[in-house]
Amino acid sequence: MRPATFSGMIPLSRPPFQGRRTNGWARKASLSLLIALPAALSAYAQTSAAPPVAATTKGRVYSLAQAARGELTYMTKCVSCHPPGTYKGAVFLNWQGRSLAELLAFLMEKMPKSDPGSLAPKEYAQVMAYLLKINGNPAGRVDLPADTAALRGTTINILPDKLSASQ
Amino acid sequence: MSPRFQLTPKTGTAFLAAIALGGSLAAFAQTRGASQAPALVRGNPPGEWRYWGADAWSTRYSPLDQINASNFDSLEQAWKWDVGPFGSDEYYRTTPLYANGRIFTVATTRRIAAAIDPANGETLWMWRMDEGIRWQKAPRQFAGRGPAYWTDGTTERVIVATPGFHLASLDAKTGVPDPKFGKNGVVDMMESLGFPMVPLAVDDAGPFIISDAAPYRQAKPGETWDAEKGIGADGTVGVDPLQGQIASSSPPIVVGDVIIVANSSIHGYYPIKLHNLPGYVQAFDVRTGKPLWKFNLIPQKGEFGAETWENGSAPGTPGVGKNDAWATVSADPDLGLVYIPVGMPLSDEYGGHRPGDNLFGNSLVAIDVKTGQRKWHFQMVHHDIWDYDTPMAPNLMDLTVNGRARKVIAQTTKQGWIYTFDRVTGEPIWPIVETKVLQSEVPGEKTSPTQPIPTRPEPYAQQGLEEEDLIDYTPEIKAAALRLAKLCRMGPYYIPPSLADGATPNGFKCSWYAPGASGGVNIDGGASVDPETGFLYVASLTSLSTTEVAKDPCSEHRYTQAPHDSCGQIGALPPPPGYTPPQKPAGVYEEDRPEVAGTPVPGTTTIAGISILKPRELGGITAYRMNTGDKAWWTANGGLFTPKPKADSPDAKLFAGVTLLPQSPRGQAQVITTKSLVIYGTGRGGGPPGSEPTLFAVDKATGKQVGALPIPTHTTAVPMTFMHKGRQYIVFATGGGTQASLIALRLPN
Repeated sequence: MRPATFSGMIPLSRPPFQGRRTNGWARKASLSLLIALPAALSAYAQTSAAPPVAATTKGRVYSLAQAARGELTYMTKCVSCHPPGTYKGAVFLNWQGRSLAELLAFLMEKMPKSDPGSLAPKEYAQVMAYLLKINGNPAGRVDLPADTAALRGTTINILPDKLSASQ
Repeated sequence: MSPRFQLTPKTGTAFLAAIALGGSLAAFAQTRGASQAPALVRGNPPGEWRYWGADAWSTRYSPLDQINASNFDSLEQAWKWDVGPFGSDEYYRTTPLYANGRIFTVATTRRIAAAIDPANGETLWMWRMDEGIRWQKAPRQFAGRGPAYWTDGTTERVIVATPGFHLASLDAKTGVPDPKFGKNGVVDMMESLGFPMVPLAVDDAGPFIISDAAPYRQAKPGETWDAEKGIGADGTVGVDPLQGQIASSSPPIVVGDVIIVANSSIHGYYPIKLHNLPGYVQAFDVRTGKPLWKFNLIPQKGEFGAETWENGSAPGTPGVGKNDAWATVSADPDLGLVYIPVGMPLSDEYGGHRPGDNLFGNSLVAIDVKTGQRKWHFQMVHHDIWDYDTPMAPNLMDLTVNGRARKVIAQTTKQGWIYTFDRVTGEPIWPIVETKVLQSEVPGEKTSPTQPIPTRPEPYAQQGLEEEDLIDYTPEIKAAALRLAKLCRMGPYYIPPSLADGATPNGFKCSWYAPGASGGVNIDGGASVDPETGFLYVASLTSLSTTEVAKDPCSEHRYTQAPHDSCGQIGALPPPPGYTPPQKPAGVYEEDRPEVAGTPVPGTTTIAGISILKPRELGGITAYRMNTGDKAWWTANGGLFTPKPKADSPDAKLFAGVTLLPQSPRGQAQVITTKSLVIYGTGRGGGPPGSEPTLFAVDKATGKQVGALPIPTHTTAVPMTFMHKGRQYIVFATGGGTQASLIALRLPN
């Protein structure tokens, strides 16, 4: 009955962990890779075989169109329990420093509380794009992939630039 | 606004005006003037839609047939009314009204009211109220389910209950507040509750946070407004915030000359305070706004039902709060009764602070409109710990049951049952049997030993989880499903929540939850009636999730829905000694998922992406022949789909060579009935995964699909239909955020 499943996203043989502990080199490399990639490759970047797409969510990891779809998804499927005010700023800071893969896995496994996993994978990604937008992360040209493997190297950073630069 | 709407035709002048302005107004004028008042059926002229549920009986039925099976797919968009320019919203949950030639709606988080020209979607007037910090901290900041309409044949009023708990009466022709109603057209419904009113202030510029964090507070003497920071006292007054909060979600209903309005409340997931305001039903004179009566949905000392609150029921008592009737309501104008579907008491999944049955929680209450006295009531869930608010207006029907003419009321519910009563006396039409149910092992919880289970009709949603409910395509699949199922507490229904740490005798860390907090039927779905055939069409969902409670270290409650941590929020308790903040947001993470090592996580509902629940004809739309209580037909919401096992799951091999049964998609359909059709949108859930937004028509006798019309975005509320100047329209709300709108459909010229 489940259009989206978390069990499918959790590989049997666990890959090397590439989340928060990703080193600086890898982040820089993946960021420059993203910049270098032409738009034609974005479809490739959305497959599970893709390398991490960006170091942090400051790296224009979602598109405005995706965030707009995410607004609709959020407002129709999330907002009755999570008014946007509760997922902006202080509350969303719980996710600061964690990877987008973790956020996606969490959403797909736990949300909506009344019917976990009931959204399509692309809808979960849209919601993440909307959350990044309302938390001040800049938009880019490609959509955030609905794929934990591809998101594992992307760290959530919603702190203002001055603060995050001093980290 | 156009001059024709400024005409205020009394008897006779309407006729002259119509002649003067030409034939185009003829139909319009026919509905004007006391001597020409249209015949009302269940409070509504056939072809109009004057109540949220079409008529006072909440049938959601229209006898129109211009749009039918032969032409449904040729419907075109007549116009789109964009909400964006007026403000933003959550999802747009409004069903507009059509009365006497105009559409009336509410919109945006401010709950503006507007009149719209049905022919072209032009805004005729707009009204909004600045409610200051009473709006800023309103627990239910959204458009709400709609306005109410009233006319005596001459005067017409649009009546709106606002997020900040005011009641406004507007001239339906102009949108101007009625100067004879309350103070300049507005009644303060907090004042009429009778609590002391105090000046209010805020310490932050943000909204109220679920469930009751960051509220407003009483202003300090001399405190003023800091416009720069958006904090301080803005001159707003309200009920002493120490009592709790009160809110509004649904329209009032007008019966005769009486406005009846209930309230909503805070969400009950993660409350911090051990008490909150009780729910009330209030009545006001439609002409003056004068308060007529108030009915306590938490009975007070000396009142019927007070003893069902074993620790006392006075406002402010620990454990006392809510029982709010947040859904739409129905009435029988001839009987002079209003039927109130009541929500649950405070804290959704733990009731240890409120031992007793907690009347009138989870009840259907019939109240005499003239006196405000209870005529009868029925409590459908005793001592609710499942968030089984009564979510929808009950449906009134005149039936012949066992050869006997009955005046019936049918209540659809989150718990998946229809409770059917004689609406004059409250006597069940078919026996509803108090049945022994599982008991909670959570410390302090005192579950009701029995719950009332209807013997008829059969439920429309999955009930609990038992071995026979599990998929059994092969013995191996069944064994795997049973392994998962046994990790949480199983049972036929009313499975009490478990303690999340498993520290109870049975050791369960979760309990199966079906139907869950979203139903069954919830605010989106509910039923439509065919008054001609006695059919009831119930739109619902069927799902499987879990429920568990834990201690929130900064809440006054012993337990709340798990997991949650409100430490640091405005209004929360200081953290206890030795408190360490959670290292990460609540949830299960890849790096610490035990099933990587081969152990399934309790609460997992799928194997390789396939639900462990057997596909059944539940959820979707169930048609009942209510003269007998039998199911007539069933259809999935937007069509069946066949799930595919996740190929990269270690368990995918279990499904090799297995042909999976097609399943019912998620989400609740939103149904109305016409002369020949049941028309429905797939609702926020959207139908089968990946399907495009569609409005469907099915043959109401058979359930066979006869139309499927692509629409720009999913319906977000129950549609409505009406005849305007010889053309039938269907209007529905859609979207949310900055992208909400009403869309009108009609046949091409």
